[in-house]
Amino acid sequence: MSRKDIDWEAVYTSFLPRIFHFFCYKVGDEQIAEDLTSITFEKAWISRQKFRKEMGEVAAWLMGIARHVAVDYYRQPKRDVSLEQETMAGAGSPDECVQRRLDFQRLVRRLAAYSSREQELVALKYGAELTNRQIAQITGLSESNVGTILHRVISRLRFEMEHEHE
Amino acid sequence: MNDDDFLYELRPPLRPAFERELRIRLASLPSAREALPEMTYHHGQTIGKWKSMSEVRRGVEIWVSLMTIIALGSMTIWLAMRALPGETQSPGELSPATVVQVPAIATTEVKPSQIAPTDQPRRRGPLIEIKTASGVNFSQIRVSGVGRMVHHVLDVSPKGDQLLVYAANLQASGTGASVVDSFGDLLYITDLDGNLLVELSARSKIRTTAPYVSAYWLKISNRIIFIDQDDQGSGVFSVNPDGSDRIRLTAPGETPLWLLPSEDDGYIFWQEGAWQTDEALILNQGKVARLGFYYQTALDDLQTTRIWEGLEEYDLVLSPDGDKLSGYPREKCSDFANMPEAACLTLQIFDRQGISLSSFEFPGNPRYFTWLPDSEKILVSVLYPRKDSPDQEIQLVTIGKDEQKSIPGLLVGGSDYWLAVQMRLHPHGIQVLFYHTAWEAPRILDLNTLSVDEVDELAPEKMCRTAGRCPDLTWIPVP
Repeated sequence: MSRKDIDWEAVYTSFLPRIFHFFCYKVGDEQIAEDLTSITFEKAWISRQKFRKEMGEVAAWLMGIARHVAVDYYRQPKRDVSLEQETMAGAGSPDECVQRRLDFQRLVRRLAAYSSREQELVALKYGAELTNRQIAQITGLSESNVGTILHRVISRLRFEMEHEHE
Repeated sequence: MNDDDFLYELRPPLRPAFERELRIRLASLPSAREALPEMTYHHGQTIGKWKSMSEVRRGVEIWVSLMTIIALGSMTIWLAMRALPGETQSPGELSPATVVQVPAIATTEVKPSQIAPTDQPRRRGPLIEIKTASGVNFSQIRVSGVGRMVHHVLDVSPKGDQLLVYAANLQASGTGASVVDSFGDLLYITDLDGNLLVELSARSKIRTTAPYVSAYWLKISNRIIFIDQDDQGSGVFSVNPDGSDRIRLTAPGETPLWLLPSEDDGYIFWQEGAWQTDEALILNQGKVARLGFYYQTALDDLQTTRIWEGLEEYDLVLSPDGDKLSGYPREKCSDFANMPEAACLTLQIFDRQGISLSSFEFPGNPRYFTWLPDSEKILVSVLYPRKDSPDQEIQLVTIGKDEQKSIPGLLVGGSDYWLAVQMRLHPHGIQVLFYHTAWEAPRILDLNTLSVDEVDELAPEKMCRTAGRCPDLTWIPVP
């Protein structure tokens, strides 16, 4: 299969926000999520000619790269946030935007207390927007097991978020 | 609104500037030059370099801000709607946020005269009482026009505002010595004001004496799944709570015997089989005439696969996390009057492929079992068979520790056995409601302390009408 068999524009449009949100759930920081998303697409773009249909669908291929990027990120020592990045994060951000970020941070902090498998499934489901079947293929879990774990996590997260201030 | 919407809505938006920046970066990669036309910015913007990105970024900042404000406004409204008190809700509607806060218990009650075996059972309808855990009456439901002899509240709607109720359409035999099922069963939905909303089935076969029942209210999709019949024969069906959009989930010719949904509403598990025509399982005296294989059917594309092979002779229940199965050999244990057989004294734990993981030996027959939410503990109803007066107890099994604990407060004597629906797990998973024919009032087990309290306030006018027939009790959410 040649690269021309892949509609890269469609892939880019469809998967950019999904990969970005996957990393948002993984690292809880938009700036870092953008960096990791860039790295993922650069790796995918450079190695696009290695992609073969028999390797699986594009989603599984891209998410495989993204998961490796995430692993590499956690292996590295913590990086300082550059001045430019701080400026970007704060520039033009209204209060509501800050509040939204805080809410998401709160959610990610809650999620950090969950098992790594549960965190991974949430990132794949609600970040990358994969189906349970796709997640099962990527993680090696059974499809129903994926659904069951996610359902339990969501119920717990939802309850904790709603009762956080009680 | 789905339960998981907040996980999408709280996500930070993708900056359009970042999307453009990345396009430019990818297009500038040396190895990508041959494919530039495919990755060129779709508005025809010339591929730029990193120094020009700040200009692009400034150009879209206003747009980003506007989109952010719109998104935040939507989220604020969404959060406000959730936080609003009941004044925006109709009287019978319950806030989803309170689902696990203040439980109540629904009881069904039928006067003793209604259970007496006669040729023509009276049809006065059941009384369903909704009480708070402290015994304060919340609502009473007199369901008219659906008079049957045995009622169970099988499930509760996700909001707790409607009940899925089963009625066994029993008729006494000619001699009055036994009760047989000749009409098929009835499945219907009521609201908490006592209105009969929808009659889902008049021919459903709902099994209540096993560890599971065959009708469920799915908590995420708000669909009801149940075993019923149509012109093509028996099958599993799903339907909206208002009775619309009824869909057959199993193929014609398949004869599902019982039903079990996965926790995420993604699948149903079912076993092929059929009841005897002189169905007497409601009294636990009959046997299943034919058993078949277990199947899994996806609710989205109805793809069906055969599962749990080699376990056809087991009564199985899937653990909440979907990783394990618990079961005991069914056929050998179905007639407990001649107990004990060695095979009937063992509860086995399997993985999802049917491979045995561990087993627990009991001094009696493990009849009914309920998984606790951690998927590591099981409550087991153990029957000690003596022909005259079997005793029963509840044991708590912890799989990882191979531990079994008896709960003294739940030991019962007498000739009646537990029904599966007489063990009701609280939505929190920290309490279990029990009731039994031998008791004056239901009892609640605290799973943290394993203490048992009798709850007089919840006792209906008459706890149990006659041997083997108790009113039904279950947890429901109230505001």
